[in-house]
Formats: sequence, C-alpha cells, structure tokens
Amino acid sequence: MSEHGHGHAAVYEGGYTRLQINRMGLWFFIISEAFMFLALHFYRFLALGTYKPEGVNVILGLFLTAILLASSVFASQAEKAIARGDQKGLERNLLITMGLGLFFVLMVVYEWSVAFAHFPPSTPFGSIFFLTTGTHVLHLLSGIVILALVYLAARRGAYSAESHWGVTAGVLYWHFVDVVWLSVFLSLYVL
Amino acid sequence: MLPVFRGLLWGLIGFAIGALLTALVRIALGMEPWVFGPLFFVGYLFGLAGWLLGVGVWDTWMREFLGMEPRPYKEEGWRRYFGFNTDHKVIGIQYGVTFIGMFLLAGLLAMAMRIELMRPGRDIFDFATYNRVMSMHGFLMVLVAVTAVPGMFGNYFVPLMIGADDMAFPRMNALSYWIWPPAAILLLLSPFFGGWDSGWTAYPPLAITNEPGQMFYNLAFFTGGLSSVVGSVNFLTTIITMRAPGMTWGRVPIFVWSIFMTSIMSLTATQFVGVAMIMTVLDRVAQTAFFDPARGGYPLIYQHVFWFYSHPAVYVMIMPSWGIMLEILAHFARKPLFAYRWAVAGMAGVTALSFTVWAHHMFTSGMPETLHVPFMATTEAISVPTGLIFLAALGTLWRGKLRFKTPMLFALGMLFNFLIGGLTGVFNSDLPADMHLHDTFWVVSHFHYTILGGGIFGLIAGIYYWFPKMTGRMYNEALGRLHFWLMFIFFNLTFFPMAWLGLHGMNRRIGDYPPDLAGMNMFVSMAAFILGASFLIFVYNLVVSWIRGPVAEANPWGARTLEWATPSPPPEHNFPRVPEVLSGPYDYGVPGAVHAKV
Ligand SMILES: [Cu+2]
Repeated sequence: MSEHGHGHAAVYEGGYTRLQINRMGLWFFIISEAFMFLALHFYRFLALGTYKPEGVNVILGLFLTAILLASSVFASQAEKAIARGDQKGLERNLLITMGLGLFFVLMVVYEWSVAFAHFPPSTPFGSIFFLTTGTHVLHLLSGIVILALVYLAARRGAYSAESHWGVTAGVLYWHFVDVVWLSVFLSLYVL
Repeated sequence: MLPVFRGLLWGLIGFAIGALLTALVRIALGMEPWVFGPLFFVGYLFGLAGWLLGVGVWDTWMREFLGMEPRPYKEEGWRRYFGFNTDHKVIGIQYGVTFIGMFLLAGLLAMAMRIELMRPGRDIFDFATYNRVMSMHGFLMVLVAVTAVPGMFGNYFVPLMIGADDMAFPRMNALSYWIWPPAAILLLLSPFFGGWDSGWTAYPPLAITNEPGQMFYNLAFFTGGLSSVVGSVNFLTTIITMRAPGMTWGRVPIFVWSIFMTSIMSLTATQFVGVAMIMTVLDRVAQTAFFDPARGGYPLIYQHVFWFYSHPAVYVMIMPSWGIMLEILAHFARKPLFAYRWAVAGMAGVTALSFTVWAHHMFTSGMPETLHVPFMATTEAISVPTGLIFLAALGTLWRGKLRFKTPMLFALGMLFNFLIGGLTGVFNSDLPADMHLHDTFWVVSHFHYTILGGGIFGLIAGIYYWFPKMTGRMYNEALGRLHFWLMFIFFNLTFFPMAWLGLHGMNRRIGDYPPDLAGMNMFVSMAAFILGASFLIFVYNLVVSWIRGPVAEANPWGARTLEWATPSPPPEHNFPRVPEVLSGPYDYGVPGAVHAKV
C-alpha cells in the first residue's frame, strides 16, 4: 500500500521515512472521518438534546461494544504477529477480527429490526439513530473489505517482519472504527 | 480506450447496478420499486464508485492490492490530461482549465440575471426560473472559489515552492481531481430535472419539497467535499514531510502557509456539509425526519450543520488568495515580506476563529437569542487576525520599489476590494444592523467584494503571475493591464451600487424590485455587462499566449521562491536534485542572501 512517487523521501527536512509519511496521511484521514461522526453527534445534541425514546437497548449496546473491543484486541495481535514474522498468526488473527466484525454487523441488523418498531426512521430520533449506526456499519464493512485485501496479500506472502505497512494501515483503521463506536454508543444509548 | 471513456462506462454500469439493487430491496420490503429518488440516490453512489474504478483506481490501486502489476497512466502530449495522471503539474493544469471553464459558465448565468434585473417586473425569466439561474450561478461560483486556487496553484506550486519532486501521495492527488467530473455531470443534468431554486445554501424545508433537481445539487456538493478531504490530507502531509532540507517552518513561502491553513479547515469542516447534504437527500428519498417539519424534524438545525462548514469555507475561498497576494506584493515591491511571522499568525488565528462564528448567518432565523451576542463577538473578533494580514501587506508595500505589472495590479486591486468587503462585513456581523441588512443586496455586495473582489482577483493575479511558469510562454502585458483596469473599474461600478440598493430595500433571490430602484439597476446591469466582457480579453490573452506567446525565461519576475529556480515549464521531477535551502524566500535587498542552492 505504499505510495511510490519518485521517492527519495528521507532526504527532506525532518528526515521522514516513507512509512512515517504514509502513517501521517492515514492519521489525517482518520481525523477527517472523526469529524463526520462529530457532525452526526452535533445534529443529535442540537436537535434532540439528550432525549432518548422508549426501546433503546443499552444491554445490547454494551454487548455490541464488547464484540468490537474484542475484535480490536485480535487486530492488534495480528499486527504483533507479523512484526515478529509469524505469518500464520497474522492470518489467524485477521480471520478472527473479520469474523467478529461480521458478527457485529449481524447483531446491528437484528437491532435495527427491533428498533424499527420503537423509533422508525420517520421520527427525528430514529433518523439520527439509523443514519449514525448505518454510517458506522458502512465504515465497519469497508474495514472488513480492507482486512480481506490484507488477508489475501498476506496469503501471497506480501508482508514480512520488516515491511508490513498494509497490515499496520488496516489495523489502525480498524481501531478507529472501534473507537468511533464508543462515541456512537455514548451518544445514542447512554446519554 | 481513454480512461475517461472507461470511467463513464463503468460509472453507468455502477449506476444500473445500484438502481436495480435498490428496486429489488424495495420489492422485498413491499414498497413501490420504481421511484426516482431512492433509485437515483443509490445509483449515483454506485455510479461514482464505478467511475472512479474505471478512470484509474482499478489500474493504480486495486491491481496492486490484488497482487497484480499496477498500470500507471503514462501518456504524452494532450493525452496526458485525460487520464489518471499523477504528476502534480498535470493535475494543477487539469484543475485550472476545468474551473476556469466553470467560472466562465457561471459568469454567463450572472449576465442573464442582470438582463432580468435591468428593469423591474418580469422580462426574460419567470421568477421561478430566475431563482434556478441564481442558484446555479451561486453554487458553481462557490465551487470555483473553494477549489480553483488550491486545486490549480496548490497542486502545481506547493511541491515546487518547498523543493519537493511531487506531492506526498501522487495517486491520491489524481483521485482528488477525478472525483470532480461526476459532480460536474450532476450539475449539468440538474436543469433537466427541474433544477433547484433554493440558492447555494439550499435550506429545508424548501430543499426537501422542491423539484428533483435539488438532489443533484446535494450529491454534487457531497462529491466535491470528498475531493476536498482527499486533497487536504495530501497538502498537509506534503507540507509537513516533504520540505527541502533547510526549509524550516520559518522559511516556508507564505502561499504554502495559506494552503496549509486552508487544508486544516477543508480536512475537518467539510464533513459537516457532507452530512447535511446526505440528511437532506434522505429526507427526500427515505422519508426520514431530520429537517422536515411535517415529520417533526428541525429545519433550523440544517443551518447550524451547513454553516459550521460553510463559514470556514469562505476562508477556504479567501485565504489561498491572501497567500498569492502577499507573495506577489513582496516580489513586486522588491522587499522582504513585512511581519512574515505575524502574517502566518494571522492566518492561523483566522483558521481557529473560523470554526466559532457560523451562526452569524442566522441572526434572523429564530435561533435562541442567547446565541446572538456570542456569535456577534466572535465574528467581530475575527477582524483582528485579518488585520494582521492587511498590515503585513501594507508594510510590504511601504517605500517599496513597486513594479506595476499585471499580477501586481491584480494584487493591489484585491487589497482594495477586500478592504471594502471587510468593512461592509462588519455591519453584517453587527446584530442590530444585520436585522435590516439580512437577505438584501447589501449582502450580495458584501460577499462579492470579498469573494470576487478578493478571492477571484487573487486567482487572476496568480494566473498572470504563474502563467509563464506553467505554460513556458509569456502573456501579453498590454492586454493584461487592459483586462485589469476594465475588470477593476467595472467590478466596483457593479457591486458598490448594490450596497446602496440593499440599503434602499432591494431583496436578494427575487427577480424583481420596487420600481423606484430601476435607474440604479439599469446602471448596475450596464456595468456588469462590461465587467463580463472584460473576461473575453482575459480568455483571448490566455489562449493566444499559450499557443504562440513569446517563450518565457525561467524567472521573468526576478522572484526568489523555488518555483522560479527551475525551467519554465519545470521538468518532470521539478529539480535536478533536492534543493538545499539556506535562508528565507523574501530577502530582497539583503546583500549576499541566497534562498536556496538548486
Ligand atoms: Cu460566515
């Protein structure tokens, strides 16, 4: 996933390596995506304050949170595995992470089917609830696609202990999607 | 096959897949399947993905992800502009030609509006059509003002000025440009679906009940925002990590600083407008209740979300032009840029404050009155950092050996116009005054002074200044000056009277006005036509000079920044080797000072 450019990056002021440059770009992208969720929460609190209708299932929300936190642990295990050159560990942990992600999506879909009866999208709370969780699920699905591409590349032997930017990037993005879930959980379930 | 055609084909296929999937889902949910709104919305998102894959994402990224050899776009001659070219100089020119074209088109619409407004009552349009023309003019111009300078000059000159061989992420740079054509196609198609009559701000509830053409605006804005985000990630990373050795933060050219600050705003605030657009579309196609009062939604919140982006966006429109203005003033006054550090601090201060002022657009909206005074105070506070930039400009001119070439004339014109734009703005930010000024032609006058008189004057100053570098040819100086004087005089004759018209009760966004304002409106229209005609000289000068103007030297202005230390136009990798920066770029008149060894 490295940018090739014409490449003599390390000669510039500050001596940034290509890896550091890639990492910085990803971080800026993550900051930007965080503002997307900030905008959703901005609407939620400006329009509705902390209003919460009947039927918001905090227990289910906690369960969803637990799934994602667990997936983040496996994601970082995947990165640690390749950092010590453990190909099998990388592949196994990626698979578990993606599996937990898919399980999370299924649980959200289940939750939507229940929520639909209590606060359908044709009500203001329902609108922001479905849009925020939907946006998060889209991010999570894109995270699964990215990890799947990383997994395929890992199977081809594209990564080594020294060079595995693709893994780092996919895992960092995955952590971001998990952390954002915490803000979604707080804004829609808890407050 | 040229990648643009493959992109179109894959885009159409994507559109069909998205629309069909939606229809199937709707059938499964027991809903009427063939409804335009939802099918078009999802179809467009799939079509956008298809277009991007076809035009270059597949060849450059996806093949690599899938373990195949990537196929970068390598063409020469005119063909290099019609594909996923990663050279920042090609991308700069792609942006430039696209957005100057859009500017001229939007200018023609302004001419049509002035024909309608020459006399009171109805002339060439019915009033609904007038509002559609006004909306299209406004939105196209907003896109030009936000995008043209960072897109054209940011891409072309940021790497050159900091001594880099390209941007940090060349492929993402190409992506940021190729996101735009779908937005352009949407806007061109919109009139065939009724257009939209809610202005460039598109407030609900009107924006959820009017013609389907509205949605084309929403999706175009969303798409453009995507490009802004991608572009600003690239600018920020490039400026931080790819400065030539010795190019410390205190030696970075002021234009690069302006792009840096602009990118901070684009990176973050843009997401808000993206969210506002999607919410509006969902209210239209999925019967959600974000802004629709009929379903208990909150139309006023749209204005908060929208202006949280769109106030920083007005600084996205002006700040890069401040950068161009300060560059040109220093190089053409042959003096060090006065108070360089304070100018940078001014830009940083404007950037920070720009996030705290949005509700000054809403004083008459019925928002809670407790918000009135705080937003008035922050808005008036923003004139302090803006003042620093003015002082830097004035101090640079002070006792300088001014050379009145065309770029300098436009930079000085911009300084004058923006002063008036700033002063008229103080009245808008003032609560008691704004109660009367809101939505009158006073406001039209104010923001045309800042955005056309400031931002676009800066854009044109930059075009004349960098034309020899970008094309390798010299423009015609006499025609350039003629263009300046016509544009400067008739710009002021067009927009200064508009302030008077506003004070006398002429409302904006209505194709009519009280009959006693007829004389002044006729005058304004005549001035506007000459202002419009001045662009014929501009375009003639650019086209003819590009084809057969005299060959330009590497450094026709004797300027010291790095882009002038390489041939015109620069070779593929910009510099033979990475330059070594020894001192600041503005040490005019300092004996023995050398900016960089190339
Ligand atoms: Cu504003």
